[in-house]
Amino acid sequence: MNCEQVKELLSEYVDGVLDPKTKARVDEHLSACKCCQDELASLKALVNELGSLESVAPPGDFLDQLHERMKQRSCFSRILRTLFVPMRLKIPLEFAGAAAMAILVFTLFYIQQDHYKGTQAPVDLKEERAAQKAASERWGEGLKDEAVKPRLAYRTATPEQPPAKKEPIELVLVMKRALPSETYAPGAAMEAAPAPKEKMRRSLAKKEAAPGAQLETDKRDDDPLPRLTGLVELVGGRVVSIEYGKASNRPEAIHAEIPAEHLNTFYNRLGELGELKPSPRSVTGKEKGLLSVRIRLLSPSR
Amino acid sequence: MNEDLKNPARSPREDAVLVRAFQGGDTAAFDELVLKHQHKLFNLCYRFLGDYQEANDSAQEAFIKVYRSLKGFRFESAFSTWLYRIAVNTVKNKLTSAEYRRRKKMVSLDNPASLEHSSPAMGMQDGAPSPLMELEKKERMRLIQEAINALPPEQKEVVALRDVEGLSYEEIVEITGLNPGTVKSRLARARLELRKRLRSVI
Repeated sequence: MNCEQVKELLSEYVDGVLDPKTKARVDEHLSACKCCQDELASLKALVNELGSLESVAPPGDFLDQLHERMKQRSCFSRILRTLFVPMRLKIPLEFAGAAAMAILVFTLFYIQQDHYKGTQAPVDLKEERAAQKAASERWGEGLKDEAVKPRLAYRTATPEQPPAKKEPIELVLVMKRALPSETYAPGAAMEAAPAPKEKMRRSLAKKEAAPGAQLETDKRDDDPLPRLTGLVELVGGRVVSIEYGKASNRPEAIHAEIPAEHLNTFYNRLGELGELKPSPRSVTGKEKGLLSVRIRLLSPSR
Repeated sequence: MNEDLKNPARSPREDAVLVRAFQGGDTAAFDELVLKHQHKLFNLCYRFLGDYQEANDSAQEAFIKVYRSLKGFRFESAFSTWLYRIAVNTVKNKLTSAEYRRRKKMVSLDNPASLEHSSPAMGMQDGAPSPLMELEKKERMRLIQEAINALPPEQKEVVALRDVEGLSYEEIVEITGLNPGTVKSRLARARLELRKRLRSVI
């Protein structure tokens, strides 16, 4: 056995845990090797030194500190226990709670989002909504509606139809012949009536040969439009629209709004232009505001 | 199980009685066990960590672990062996914890002589040593502890258990879970290392 091998075994040798055979061989080597003897002495000294190290004592209140610490721990673990034990019961409960919270939060979030959309909607959508709202309110107020209907029916003078607020009063005006000359040619009124009429008829008949010029002539002579619009303006109303015939390109109807208080005057003046059909009902003083009137113009039968 | 290996100073029978009493609901039995083993356990922790406060922390931690699992103790080993195993694991966990290493680094930078001041109970047991001897002894102890501190943890473990605590190889095997050959070789290497470091002292 050489020094290296012995040195490796010295640790166990010191502790006395070598098997007797190996120990005997180490002893044999040691008796002859000064170097290994020194090594052994050094090792023994170290082991003695380590073994004789004074024991470091814990603090005097070690047990109290321990109790304090255990109390703190038990507080913490009690909280944990109340939260999670028994696991089988409380974990699903907590999970359910968390899920409920999540649903609540999402619901609130979506409601908020809808609200946001509502406030940010384009204007037309807003109006649509307002109209829907108004409609639903009308449905809700059935009684009030019932009270309104008869009044509207009276105003429109078409009781068989369900009255709508904007529905115009429909009238037909059968135009008188040669109106313009009568009204707008003061000089002519002085003359004997037949003569200029005959003259005009003749000239019309003449011009029928040249159809291109006919429209111009008719316009000049028969166009009731300026007179009608003048009349509307006279009674303080306004012309809403004028309908032209597709083929003839002549005015067929005029749609106007007339103040209710002047409607009777308007009818009277219309009567000067031609025959009104059906003969309109006179308006009572109760009605106010603008009334919509649509007058269809019919040429006199030739 | 290995009662024949136990030091006469420790009395496993009594440990077993106390453990059974605790398991029977006597919480005072635990206090008794603590008082009985606190010195050994604390010393082991101190040798391992080289810091009084850290040793105190680890020893208390180990006893708390013991308290928690004592109800389930099945006497498969001696109580003291089980206690040491818990303490060694606690201390090893502490050594490897990032928090401990960070703190250790700070201490060594701030106060390199902290070791000396952190062991107030040291050197109070001799009768009436001369101040010089006392000083020399303190210095020696400091150097030895520093040498132990410098060992890698696996060598520190076997040295602390064998040479400081005086446990048998079998006990060390049981506590650490290492095989006997590893314990022997680690101990030999640790001793060699310590001799190198303490050549001037010993």
